[in-house]
Amino acid sequence: MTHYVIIGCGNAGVTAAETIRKHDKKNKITIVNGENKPFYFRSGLVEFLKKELEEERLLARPKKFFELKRIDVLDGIKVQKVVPETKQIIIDKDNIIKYDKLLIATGAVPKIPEIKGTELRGVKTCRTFIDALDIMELAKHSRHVVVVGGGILGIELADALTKRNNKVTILEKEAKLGTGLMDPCTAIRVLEDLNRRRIDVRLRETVKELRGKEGHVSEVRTTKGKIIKTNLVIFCTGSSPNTSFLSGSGIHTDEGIIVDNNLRTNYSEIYAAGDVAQINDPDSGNHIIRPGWYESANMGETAAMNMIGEDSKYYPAIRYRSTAILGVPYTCIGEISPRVRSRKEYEVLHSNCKKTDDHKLFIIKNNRIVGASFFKDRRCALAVKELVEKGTDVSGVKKQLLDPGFDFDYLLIKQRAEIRNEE
Amino acid sequence: MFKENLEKEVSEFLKQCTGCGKCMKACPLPESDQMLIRSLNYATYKKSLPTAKTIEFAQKCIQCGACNIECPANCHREKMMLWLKTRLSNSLPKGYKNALKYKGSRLSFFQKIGRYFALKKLEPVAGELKKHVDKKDFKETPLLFYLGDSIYSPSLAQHKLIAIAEYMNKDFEILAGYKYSNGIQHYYAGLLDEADKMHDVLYDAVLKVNPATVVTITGEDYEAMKHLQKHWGLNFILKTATEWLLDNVNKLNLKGEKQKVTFHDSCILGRKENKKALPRELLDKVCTIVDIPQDKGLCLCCGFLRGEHEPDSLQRMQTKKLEQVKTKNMSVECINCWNKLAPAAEQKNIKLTDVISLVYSALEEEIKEEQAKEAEQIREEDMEE
Ligand SMILES: Cc1cc2nc3c(=O)[nH]c(=O)nc-3n(C[C@H](O)[C@H](O)[C@H](O)COP(=O)(O)OP(=O)(O)OC[C@H]3O[C@@H](n4cnc5c(N)ncnc54)[C@H](O)[C@@H]3O)c2cc1C
Ligand code: SF4
Ligand code: SF4
Repeated sequence: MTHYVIIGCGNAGVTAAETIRKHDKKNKITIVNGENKPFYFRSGLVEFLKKELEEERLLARPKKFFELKRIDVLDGIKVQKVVPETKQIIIDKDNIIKYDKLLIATGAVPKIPEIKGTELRGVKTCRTFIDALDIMELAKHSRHVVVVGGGILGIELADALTKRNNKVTILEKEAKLGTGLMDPCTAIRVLEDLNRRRIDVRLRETVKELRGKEGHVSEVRTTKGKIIKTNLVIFCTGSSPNTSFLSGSGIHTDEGIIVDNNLRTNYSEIYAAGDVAQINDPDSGNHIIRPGWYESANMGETAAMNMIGEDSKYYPAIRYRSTAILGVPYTCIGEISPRVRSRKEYEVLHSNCKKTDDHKLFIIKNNRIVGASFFKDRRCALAVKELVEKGTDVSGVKKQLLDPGFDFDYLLIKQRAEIRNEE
Repeated sequence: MFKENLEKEVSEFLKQCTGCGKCMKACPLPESDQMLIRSLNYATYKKSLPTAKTIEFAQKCIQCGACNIECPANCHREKMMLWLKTRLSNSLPKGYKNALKYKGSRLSFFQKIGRYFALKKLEPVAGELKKHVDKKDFKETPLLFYLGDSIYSPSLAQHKLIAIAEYMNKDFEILAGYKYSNGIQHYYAGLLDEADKMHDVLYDAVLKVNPATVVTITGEDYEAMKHLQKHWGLNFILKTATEWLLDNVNKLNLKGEKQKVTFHDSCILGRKENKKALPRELLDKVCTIVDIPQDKGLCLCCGFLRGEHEPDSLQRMQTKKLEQVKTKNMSVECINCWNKLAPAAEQKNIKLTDVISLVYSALEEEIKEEQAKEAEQIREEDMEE
């Protein structure tokens, strides 16, 4: 009898359990879920806060799913320690679980900067269902809310709270919103939209210190010396892999848990997947983190295949994120960050954001598209993703890439036809 | 070929779906309010059959693509629904099968006879184009009009398009008839293998013509040709009749007064292919367009895929749709929409036209003149002899 144990009941953990069960009908599978809520759509929390999705609809699997698949889930239990030598995970001194194969899929935890006052009540992050409930409750007692961080989550959260009749200020320490994931033109569009929604956005400004009254936050002091009165401060300043409980265990960690392309750690029976994993990237020789919903499902699947004894590899794919910002479709593919864009060997093509409503951006290197972003009109996103993955030469059509009617599918079709002819 | 491609695509979409529920908010079917994303997704990939409620929803889905547009994660719920249907295709409602009965390769002896008589009745509609029906010999030429079943459309748009092409002295070939049906209805009913066979026939014919450009007059025909490009590796430029007319219309002299016309978007061309702007651009030259609001609940659909197996529901959909039309004239882009909506529109005293016919009317005088001139010439030549 093999006992598969999975720490974390998020997308990576559940997909892994499901995949194991698909191929192994008899052995025992246990998931330790640090939260009290059964597996839910984490990104749906934003819609939940916007009142666009009821709590009932957050659950990500049918109610009887775990029972049906004979997967034991221990809700509301946090693993304190992993002991690879004795193949045990420790919950408390009376509760120890033995495993044969272990998957660590503990996701990420929000980052909070090291400043004074973050321990005060009313200082929140938004990662779990409980966080969302807390935010809802606290927002009722704070007319003014401060959101720290102008990334996509911060922007969406600000919008959700405005819909709940709160006045919101966003503090962003960089000179533009959405650094890394949003191109400059999109950032400007979004900023204009936020202003229209009467959301106060302050760029190049962040929190210096939080002050409180009777243990509850009461004001924010900013790096520009301003004071904002508030009873709710939400940090949306990114997240980092959730590995703290592994210190001293002997499992190699850097920023996340170091794994090879079979998603195996330095212990052959321990694997990691999802936002917590730091995966070998053969292209750069580094270990990189690939957080995201889609990525965590893929990693969960790959880890599971290896746990049941198959040889399955996961290579960090090009980054692909499709979402909606303030209701407008937005997709970014590959690298579009300013750091990449300023280097000489890159060619940048983008539509004139003053003239068109839709915005398109292409980053080209050696006649191949390596990064792209689409705001509003993203019909071509899936085709462009394929072009980036395949490294298709676009030298002949560079001038047309920005044409509204340009048919990227046709480019792919032509390439496929050429491959077929060669065959 | 369909099956593997679809399965691969859908499994990606399932992993990308973050459960926000926006697709069901956009879906025009009233049942969509009750569908839970978790049940729908689970039903799409699990092995055993889904619950009765999910089956019913899947079978009702009209593949209109309204859901695709709203998805923040850029998933195509419409394709996920289709995958679900393929697994239910053994339990297709009877009327559904009725709709497909004369098409495809798996016809029984009686169906073949039935088809013979059905087509005999339609023959006058094919008129002069009759010689192209189900033909085997094709010349190699750069322009192909793929008319398929629409050669029998009572809208007569097919004749007008060909007349415009002739007027412009184009060299072209025509692919038409039930033998060359597009297979998309089979595809949407989840009968992917059957659709594959039909596309095999189309593939051979298109290969013979070896066109640089293929022009279609319905959304389904367009989708079939797109499949030939995408999955069968055929290399040509695909155009809707609208696109082809737009390319050529600047060379033409469009005349006549501009009437108010309500425009109905095609699900395939408008929503899935996202070509909503093109028919508007073209119509703008010949009439004044009035748009129908497209909110949820207001029916978006001509009723294609419904109807045959659910006449009540078809009628409800069409009534709701036509109630939105406040002008005397209504125009469609896809000729299938025309075929489907025409009887209901007639009842409501709405004059139903299509994009091709409107352009043709604006040219009619000139075309007729040209034809008369030609006839005159021929007569003179005859006399000389
Ligand atoms: C508000 C929000 C919106 C998002 N929107 C998007 C989006 O639009 N698109 C996108 O791609 N991604 C989005 N993400 C990111 C996406 O949700 C994550 O990348 C994904 O959920 C990661 O899955 P995971 O399984 O690796 O980790 P998680 O989902 O974080 O799951 C980790 C699980 O481990 C449990 N756990 C942690 N520590 C322990 C312990 N010691 N013992 C036991 N259990 C433990 C936790 O309770 C949790 O259940 C969003 C995230 C948030 C918070
Ligand atoms: S294709 Fe149309 S009918 Fe089907 S689920 Fe999508 S929106 Fe609903
Ligand atoms: S809209 Fe897209 S992400 Fe949202 S539930 Fe539907 S398919 Fe999933």
